[in-house]
Amino acid sequence: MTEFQDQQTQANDVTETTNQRSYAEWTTFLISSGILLSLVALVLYDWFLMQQSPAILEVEPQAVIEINQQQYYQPFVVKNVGGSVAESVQVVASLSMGHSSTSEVGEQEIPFLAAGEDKSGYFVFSHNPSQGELRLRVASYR
Amino acid sequence: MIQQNSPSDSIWQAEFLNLVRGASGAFLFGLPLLYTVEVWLIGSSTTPPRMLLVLGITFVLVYLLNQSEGFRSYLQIKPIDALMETVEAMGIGIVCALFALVLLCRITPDTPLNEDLGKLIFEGIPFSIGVALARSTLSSDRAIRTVKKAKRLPKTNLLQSTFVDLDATLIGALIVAFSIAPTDEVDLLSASIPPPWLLLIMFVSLTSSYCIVFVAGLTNQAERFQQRGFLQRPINETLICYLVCLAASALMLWFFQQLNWNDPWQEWLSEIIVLGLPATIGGSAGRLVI
Repeated sequence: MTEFQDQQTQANDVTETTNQRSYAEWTTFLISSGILLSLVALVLYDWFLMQQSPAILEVEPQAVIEINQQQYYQPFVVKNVGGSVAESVQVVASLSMGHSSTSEVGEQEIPFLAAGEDKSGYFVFSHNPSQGELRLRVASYR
Repeated sequence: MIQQNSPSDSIWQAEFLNLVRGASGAFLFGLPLLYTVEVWLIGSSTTPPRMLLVLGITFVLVYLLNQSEGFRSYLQIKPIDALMETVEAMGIGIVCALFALVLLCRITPDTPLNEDLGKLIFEGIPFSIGVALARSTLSSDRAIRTVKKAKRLPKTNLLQSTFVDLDATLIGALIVAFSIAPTDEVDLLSASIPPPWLLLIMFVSLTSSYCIVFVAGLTNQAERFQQRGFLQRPINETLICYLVCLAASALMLWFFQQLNWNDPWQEWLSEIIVLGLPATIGGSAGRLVI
């Protein structure tokens, strides 16, 4: 029998024969109470202090455009600045190239956007977005 | 010379073992639900009043369990003790759930507070219940009363005892991996976890396996310490059984066509390690129960 097991058996004997709570157990209880109360306090803080407004969605293109294999990668960030959750957020991008009739359209669906959360992604175009007119908008959510 | 522990040391040692036992039960019970994307989404979209309601219901449930179960080794307790143990079980469950959510990158510094709280509270339910069931569900007393055990193979045969352990590990790991491998969560998690983080998951898998089998004081753990042979050394057994669990994870991922030979090796590696965490917990439980 190892020394560790000896200690373990001795330790188990203590818990099985002790009726009064030891100070180690009281420490565990106090720390656990603190954790539980902190969690409740944070939920209450989230409930009372944060403004409970509907989802407000903003989408913005990022400045840096990456070019890979003759394709232009336009990064974007969509953010929920409201107080409620938005699901199935559809982001639509359209790119018009000046006087020519060329235009490209892309769309993405973000499954889930919590209050205050932002997510990023890329639209891929075959023309340079910085030389045309790029429009980004949130088309729908639920 | 063997150093004699003072009563003070024994008290802290006992409490440490109680906490490890509670945490082991939490991971055993809570990990499968952790690999469920719907729970993350439900938690993320829950309003604060509902979070408080869920916390309250969980508290009552754990209190009822603690009247007959619990994670401490007391067999006779007063109602106030059950109440205090409920607070402790919830505390341990929440800390374990938080640790697991951070480990799997479901909670990061960028996650909004309400999403953190929702995920934590919903994932905290199975973890807290696991703490409350820690002593009874895997205790040897309970197993003897309810399950007629097959005659164990004589431990004198080194090869046979090694096969018994490997077999039990494989069965436990396969049962857990079988239920998680076909889901999208493994792919989703491995895609979002950075490569260095995988080392941490491996470390936690090994540590939790060691704790469940050799530290938590569950089932035939005392008997395991007395076993001799190459695999029966705790460190060897933990390492080799982890490899078996990784193999079981790889097999299940391939079986459910989540991985194929054309996939890059990095994808194989990350998905096997991510699925390896619950599979290792299952393998550890398998070695204790079977």
